[in-house]
Amino acid sequence: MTRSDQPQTSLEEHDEEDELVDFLEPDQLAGDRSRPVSRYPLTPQTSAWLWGLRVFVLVVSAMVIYTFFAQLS
Amino acid sequence: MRVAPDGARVSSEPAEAQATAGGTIALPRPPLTHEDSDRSLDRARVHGARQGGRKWFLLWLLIGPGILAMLGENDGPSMISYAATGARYGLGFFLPFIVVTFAIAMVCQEMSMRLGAVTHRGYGQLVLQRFGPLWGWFAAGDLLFTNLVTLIAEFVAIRIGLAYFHMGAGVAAALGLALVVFTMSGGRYWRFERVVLGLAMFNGLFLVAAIMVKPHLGSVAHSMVTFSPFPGGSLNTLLLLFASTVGATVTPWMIFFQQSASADKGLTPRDLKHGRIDTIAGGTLGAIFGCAALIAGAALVTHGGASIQGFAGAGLPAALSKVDGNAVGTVFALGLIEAGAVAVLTISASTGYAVGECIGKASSFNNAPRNAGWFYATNISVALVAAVIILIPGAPLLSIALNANVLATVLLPVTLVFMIMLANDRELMGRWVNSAMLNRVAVVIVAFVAVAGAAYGIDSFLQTVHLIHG
Repeated sequence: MTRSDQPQTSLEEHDEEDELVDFLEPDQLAGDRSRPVSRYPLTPQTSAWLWGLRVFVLVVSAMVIYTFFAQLS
Repeated sequence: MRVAPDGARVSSEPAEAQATAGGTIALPRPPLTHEDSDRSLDRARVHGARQGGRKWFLLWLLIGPGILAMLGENDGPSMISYAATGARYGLGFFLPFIVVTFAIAMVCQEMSMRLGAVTHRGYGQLVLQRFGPLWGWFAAGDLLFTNLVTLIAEFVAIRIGLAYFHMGAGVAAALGLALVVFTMSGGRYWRFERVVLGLAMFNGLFLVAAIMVKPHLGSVAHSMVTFSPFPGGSLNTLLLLFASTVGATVTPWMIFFQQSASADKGLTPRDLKHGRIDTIAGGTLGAIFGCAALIAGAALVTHGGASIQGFAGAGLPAALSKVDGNAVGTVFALGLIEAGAVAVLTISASTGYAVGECIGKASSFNNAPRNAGWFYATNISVALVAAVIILIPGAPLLSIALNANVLATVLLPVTLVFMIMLANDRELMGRWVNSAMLNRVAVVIVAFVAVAGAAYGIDSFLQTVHLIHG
């Protein structure tokens, strides 16, 4: 490849890249996917409900883990 | 569907369509990455198949995440759990119950696929960004913990399968790790998906084993239709089997995996129909192969199946070979190796996706390891830790396998609730939000899973601390 070929090749590559990217939705590009989405407006009731569920599963998980080790011993 | 930084909604049509549609908002294109190039190549093939009216080729291109999630969940502990249930109780309630749990899984996984295809983001990323870091890290923490326990159980299954061929834990650990490294080495999502999909087809070995034990078809049909006989025995054992059967079919990692894999594959709202076909096909195959494992195990019910506890050695396959000949034992052992191996690949991938998404690092198989270090390092590390644990002599392997499923069931309701909230989030999902009917079904599923997990957890705990007697 000669030095004079390089800009041409680069342009062709750029065109090819542009053509391929046309098959993606704009928000499928990796750069776009990493953009944060806005926060969900959680109401106090929803938050309380989620915390209740969270505590419930943690307590039951602790029971399962305790039972597992108790049965081992 | 895209939500622009200023909150404006942007069309989901490809860029080409946007340029001609007019009236849509054009944002400056971010710099292209290797991940973008690979994904666009895959999408170009989908576009070509769609334009050319090649329906079967289009289906071939778009299937994958659903089948992988469903057959990945027909994993080692699940198949051991199904077969152990069959060996203990024979054909009966649990046979159609497996079909019910797969129907539940299809509902959950369809939501997961739809979220990935519409938002192009993984579950961990969406929970973290939409509900805040605390909930995001809780979700990732739950996943990391259950995945590690489940991965240990997967290596256990590989070890049980290999033990039938007189190979030890070291070979199981090396085989699992070698597969993880091999499937990740291509730097393409498509390659990972097709290799694992090819391996997952060997889940059909359980169907072969079921046919080889020559089950009484009338009894199978009777159980399927009547959900009977209902098993007897202690309530706690039944609750354990109930919770582990639910946990053998619907788990947090499946939701993380299918959503992230759908986004990584590049599915879009136009592909939802094929995504649903993929999910239903996976669920149907999973249910057939899961039932087959139970039917194969049921061959042991009249041969002291209830007392088979030696799974740390060659338990189930060896017992089957004594009852129905070496060939059945061999097929079942190979099935366990496959089930464990495929699950090691999909579960470690779901861990890599979740961690990468939560810390905001590149998490795609379309990236080379140098560009997505966290993703690949997590993938390998979690498998490595699990592999090391199974090398510990005297580890309670069957107990780990069954409790892995129970833990997954216990932690699942939180994952499901956030998924349902996301699937109803009109700002993210636009017109692809859940229907009212689907929401009603989803609420029933969450309640069912919560009760199934809690019933065993609470009952076992109360017995352990001698507050009640079994």
